[in-house]
This record gives sequence, structure tokens and C-alpha cells, in this order.
Amino acid sequence: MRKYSLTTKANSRRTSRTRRLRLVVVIGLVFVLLAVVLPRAVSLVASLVITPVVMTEDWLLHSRDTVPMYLRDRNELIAAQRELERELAARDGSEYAINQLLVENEELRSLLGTASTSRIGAGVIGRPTELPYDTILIDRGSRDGVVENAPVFAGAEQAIGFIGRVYPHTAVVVLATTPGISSTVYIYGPNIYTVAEGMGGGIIRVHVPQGIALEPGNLVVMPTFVSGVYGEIVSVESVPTRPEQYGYAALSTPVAHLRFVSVGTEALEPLDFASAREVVEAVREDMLSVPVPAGVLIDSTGTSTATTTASSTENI
Amino acid sequence: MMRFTATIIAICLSVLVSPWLLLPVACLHALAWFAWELILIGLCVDVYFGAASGLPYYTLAAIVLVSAAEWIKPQLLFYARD
Repeated sequence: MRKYSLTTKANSRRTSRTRRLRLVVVIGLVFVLLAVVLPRAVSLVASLVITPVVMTEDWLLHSRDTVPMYLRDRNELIAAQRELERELAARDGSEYAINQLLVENEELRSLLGTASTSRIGAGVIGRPTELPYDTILIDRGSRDGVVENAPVFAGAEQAIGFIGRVYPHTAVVVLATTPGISSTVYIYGPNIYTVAEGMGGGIIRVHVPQGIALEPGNLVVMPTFVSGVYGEIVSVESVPTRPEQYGYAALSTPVAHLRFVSVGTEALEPLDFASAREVVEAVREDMLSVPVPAGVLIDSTGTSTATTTASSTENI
Repeated sequence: MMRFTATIIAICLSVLVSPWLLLPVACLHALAWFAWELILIGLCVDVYFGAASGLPYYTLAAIVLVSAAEWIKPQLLFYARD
């Protein structure tokens, strides 16, 4: 009798466990199916769940509001409070804030003012080391005119990726360095087109055959980003016994330190090879030109304000 | 209420910390309750951030974790109530 009872209990437990395991798998499949069938609805739910957390984090870590400043710099504020008895401390504080705002202003001006095409300035509120995937989160979304697949720039001409997802108030930037992303690049120096693959953390890797003169400092251009200088080769890994060598390229500003970016207003479109060559040539001309004041420049055409420091450009 | 609070904590950790720090918290959560909400959180993270990712890693990890927790629960002494 006792044996029968134990056996029944064990069977019941096993049945219950199997049922629960099935239930877990069914729930998982239903969620994944919903994401496939109703991507916009699931995206909206995800936005409602995740955005407040990201916004709060950014507010706490980067905002200049009183509360986060207090939480961040509590010890400094306690020390400053003692010194507030002196007028000088208060004035220093104001000067510091003004300097901070001036620096921020300059960064924004350089992002928007020098851009040749229409751009949307955006603050970075999430960076690769802070986010689950190797992406960037910006504080501009569809309500600000951001569209999917629009290029994203870290400076006036430095392309870093494109808009992967757009939400009403935020957008996720897929970086050219995101693992699994491959892009066609042109490398000045050896003057070759090759494929770069994302390594994460703001690094892309190109692999080319041995014998090609790949060197640190070679400029890397991504023609798909139209005005897109990506960065320069910072390191070359070349083992003579291997048939290929690797070059690693990085941005001049580490991705983890980006505070502002600008977003193109139009989505990227597929580029044919002829257009890619035009982009590469345009970047080459930019590299060779120096802006010279009109009074200083001696030019027989008399219309140009820039001079070329090299007589010819190499055919590509 | 405990479960709701734990879910909010899991949501925050899923965005704010490394997945390796999130894992033990998610394990505890899955052992304490039948944690279907972890799968939903995983899906939200994948949908929100995983634009360039081929696989929904967080969702798959959550399904595996919750399944493993449901499988192991009867083996644990404090769940084996007669």
C-alpha cells in the first residue's frame, strides 16, 4: 500500500513537471511568435518596459539636475557645502557650470554646424558597456524625425553606424562595430576595398592577404555612409606564416565616451560600386584640400577657396 | 507584491548590468516562482536592443533558465512537500 502510494506520488510529480516544462516552452513560443507576427505591438511593449529604465539611468548618471548631481557627487557636495561660507566657492561653481555648458555647446555646434547635409543632433543615453547588446541608445526618436536605417555620425563626417530601431522618444543605433555586422570599406594607403567585420567595443577588423602594405594610421572609409570616414587602422596583426593579416580600426573618440551624435534625416540606400568610388574620391579630395583665405590664395581660376596639396590622385 | 518587486528588479538589472550579474538573480527568481515574466523580459530586451542580432539570445536564455528551474524544483528538498 505504502509502495503504491509513493509510486503514485512520484508519477504525479513527474507528470506535473512535464506539464510545467511544456508550459514554459509554449509560453516562450507564443512570445516569439507574437514578436514575429506583431512586431510593432511587441516593440511598443518593449519600449514601455525598457525606456523608463534607460531614461532613469541616464538621468542619474549624466543629468545636471540637482538630485542626480547630488547623488553622484555627494561627497564633493558635502565638502563644497563647508566651503559655501566663502563667496569664492559659489563663484567657482558657477564658472564650472558655465564652462561645462560652453563645452557642450561647442560639441553640438561642431555636430550640426559643419555638417553638409541636414542632421538631427542627439544625446547618447546608452553605450555598449551599459547596454545588453553592442549598440548605442540616443534620446531622439520618431517624434523628432529620426527614421530607420538613417546614418549616424560621431562628428561632422565620422560615420559610426545606422538607426536599427526607432521608438517615439529614443532610437537604437547599430554600430558598424557590432559583432556580426560586415561592411565594405576602403583603406587609404594600400588603396584597397575590403570587408570589415565588427568586433564590438568600437573596433572593426579587416583581413587582407599578406604583402599588402597595411599600416597603423591608414584611413578607413565606409562608402555606404556617403560622407563616411570611419577611423584609422590602429593596429596590424601580421604573422608571416599565415596567409592573411589583420588590421584593427577604431574611432578617434572611444564609443564608450560618446556624448552626442548626429543622425541623417534620410535612410541609407544601397550603393553601387560606381557611387562608392565617387564617395571614396570625394573623401580623398577633402583630405588633400586645405581651406585657404581668399586674400592669401593665388589661383589662376580665382574662384576656389581651397588648394590641393598634391597634384594628382591615384586611380582606384 | 514580492513577485512584482522582484520582476521590477529583474527588468532594471536586465538593462543596467552585465548578463553575468543578472543570471544569479534570474535563477533565484525562477526558483521562487513559475517565472514566465523572465521570458517576457528577455523578449523585450531582444526586441528593443537586438536590432543587429540574428538570434534572440535573452529570450532563449530565459526559456532555458525557466525550464531548468522547473525541472530541478522537484529535486530540491524544500519543494518536495508530501
